[in-house]
Amino acid sequence: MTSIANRPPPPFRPEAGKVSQEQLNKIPCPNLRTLVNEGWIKIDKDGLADVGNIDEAFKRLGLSSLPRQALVKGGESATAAAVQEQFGHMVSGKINLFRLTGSVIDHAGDTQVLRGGAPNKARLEWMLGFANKDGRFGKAEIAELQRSAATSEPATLRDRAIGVAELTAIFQVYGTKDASGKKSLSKEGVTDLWQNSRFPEEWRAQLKSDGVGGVTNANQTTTLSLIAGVVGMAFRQIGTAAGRALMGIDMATGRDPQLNQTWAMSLSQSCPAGPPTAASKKDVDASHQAKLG
Amino acid sequence: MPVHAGLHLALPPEFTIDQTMVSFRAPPPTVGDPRVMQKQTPIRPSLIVHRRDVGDVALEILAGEITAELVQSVGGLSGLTTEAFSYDDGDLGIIISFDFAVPEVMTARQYHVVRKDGPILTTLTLTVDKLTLTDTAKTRWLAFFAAVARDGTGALA
Repeated sequence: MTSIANRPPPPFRPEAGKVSQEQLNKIPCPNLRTLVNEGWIKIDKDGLADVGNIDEAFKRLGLSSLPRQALVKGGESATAAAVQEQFGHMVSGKINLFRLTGSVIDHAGDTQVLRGGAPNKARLEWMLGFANKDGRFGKAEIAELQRSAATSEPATLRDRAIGVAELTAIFQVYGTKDASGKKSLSKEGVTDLWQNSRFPEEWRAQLKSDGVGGVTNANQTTTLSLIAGVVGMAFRQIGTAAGRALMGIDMATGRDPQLNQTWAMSLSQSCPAGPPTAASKKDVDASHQAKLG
Repeated sequence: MPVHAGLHLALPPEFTIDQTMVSFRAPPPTVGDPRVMQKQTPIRPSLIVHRRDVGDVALEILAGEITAELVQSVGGLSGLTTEAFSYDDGDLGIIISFDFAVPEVMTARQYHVVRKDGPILTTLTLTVDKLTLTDTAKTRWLAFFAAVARDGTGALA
């Protein structure tokens, strides 16, 4: 039997982004990779993309412009040197999508499907195994998937929060509503996003036919609503037994749970396409000190 | 009355304390710990004390809810036990404990100890190294838990 993950990838779409699979493999985020392959985000041979272009792609996805603001303002709050170090040409209004691997968006406890560059079919099969009996991913399946991903390797509270934010964002953006009005994503859609870097077909059907606009559902997904559940979860951590359990583990192993939670909030607010504000833990500390000074 | 140790807050008078949390951490292991030399993750004992008003709910019910939450939310949980005990002041206490293992990195034992003073639920979350948790060490921690007592003010902080 040929599984979905083993399904031959569709022909490459040269009319879209005009990028090679090798180039796509350098982009660690499934959403950004798909947006580049579909031609919604243009990159040059070195992986540089205009922030404005990314912002436009977000708008077409139905997102507010907050992610761009988070990117730009986040970049401005960090030192130019740190931004240069993290994202190369971001200071000049460009982001190097090839240099995100190893940056602050990388985190343990993710699905690991794209971690090695080329899609990992074994990990994709594992991921698809979390679909419900109808072959779809809803909130419950996403939660279980993330929980399992976060526990398959040592992961901090920050890792877990980013992982939840990442999956929630992707499923909220690309999910389609079923008869009961709840969003979910099919196994084929997951395969398209993570393996083929293509928009899910059932989601593509929602696209406006004018060749310019994005999704047809008028209700724009704001960043705030998109990550409301994630933010709530992060804030509730201390107030819950599970949050204290994880915090206790983080403290016992020398991690910094408080800063991790701050990070999770920051990352969540800029997550829909993947890249967060551009600063390392050290730079956040320096930035805080500078603001206080 | 200070609302936060070491900090003066000019709070609006209508504000009252809703919940409190304070965490403690033991010193890091010395270089004499062989795991440090082998670059393994050493466990640094930590304690989180959390207090909040939960209203008129029985401690057993709250302990059950906490246990269910932990089982559903904490990955890698094993060796779960729950046991009732008496604090030195005679109040009922419940200990929920489990192992938290990260393969090839470390195994920690975590205790969630609860007590209720009127509407206030106090939860102590202790995380210790299972490898060095001898009977003597365990007895010491249990004595620490048992000695937790209300101060009589009924305050959250």
